[in-house]
Amino acid sequence: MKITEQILSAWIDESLSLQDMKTVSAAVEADPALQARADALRSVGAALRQESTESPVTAERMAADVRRAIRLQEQAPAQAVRFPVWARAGLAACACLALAAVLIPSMMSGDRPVVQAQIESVNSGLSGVSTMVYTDYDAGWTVVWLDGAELEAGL
Amino acid sequence: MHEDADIIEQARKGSEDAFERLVLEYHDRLMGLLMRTARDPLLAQELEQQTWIKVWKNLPRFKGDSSFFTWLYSVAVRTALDYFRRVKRLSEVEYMDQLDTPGNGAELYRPDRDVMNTELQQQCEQAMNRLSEKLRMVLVLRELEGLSYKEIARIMKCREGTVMSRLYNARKKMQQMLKRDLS
Repeated sequence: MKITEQILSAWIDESLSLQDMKTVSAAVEADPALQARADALRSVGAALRQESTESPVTAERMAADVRRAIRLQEQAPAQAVRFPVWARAGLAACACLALAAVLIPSMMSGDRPVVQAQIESVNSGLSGVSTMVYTDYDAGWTVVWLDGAELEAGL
Repeated sequence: MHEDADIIEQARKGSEDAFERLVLEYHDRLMGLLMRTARDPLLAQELEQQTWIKVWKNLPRFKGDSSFFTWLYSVAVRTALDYFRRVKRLSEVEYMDQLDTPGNGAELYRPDRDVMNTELQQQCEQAMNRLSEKLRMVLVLRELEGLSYKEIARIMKCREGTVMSRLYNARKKMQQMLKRDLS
């Protein structure tokens, strides 16, 4: 088993398997250089433990601050739902597309007759029959009707 | 650490008094972790407060799969790492400049110099300031809190192998920086 520094680091934490712990322990005991490397890794922890971390606030003060912060949050009105940036960008793009879908066809239909609807009398070629055509350009309807005595008799 | 299941249960059910007892009980250890990770007392205080607010909100969902202490630490670690991620995103360039400039590390932390009076302690502070937050965190959890790899992996949401390699990297970097600074 090759004892790397990483294995040595896990060995000082006693985090290797039982078998590996035994192997590394024996190797460290037999090799002063390996022991020195292990000691050097251990010294980091020892140095850290000397560092002072004096709390800037007492536990009582922290508890009071936390309680106040929680109450403030609970009293605050519910915030409006905020969509993430990507969702907002997507919504804006959809709105633009919808607007374009409405505006562009209406802008392109410049050849549409100015007249919105008209009624024409058409010659049907049948005697005594009047033919009328009603065209509504806005709704897209075309109604044709025929009227006459002969036609009624024929039907 | 003694964990009073009754207090946790009462806090879970919404008892503010029980919750306050948890804050009083765990404050010192939580602050120790955050001070060593954030390297700034005021920031550590802010992060601890945010941690407790999250704990209060999520306590009803705490199922007791892990110990309360492990769960509390994982909330604190996530809160701190989220903060560092946000700060990095906001000022990536400035942050990298700070890390790359030797000797600048001490400016991140303003310790009480009456207490921090030995050269080794000062060098240790500076070396810790230069480590990345994740390496700092794993080192504190192992060396000062004495947590197992399994517990650290659970708290940091990573694999035990990752804990092992991060610990090795942290120790190696600290060792190199301490050696260089002291020489």
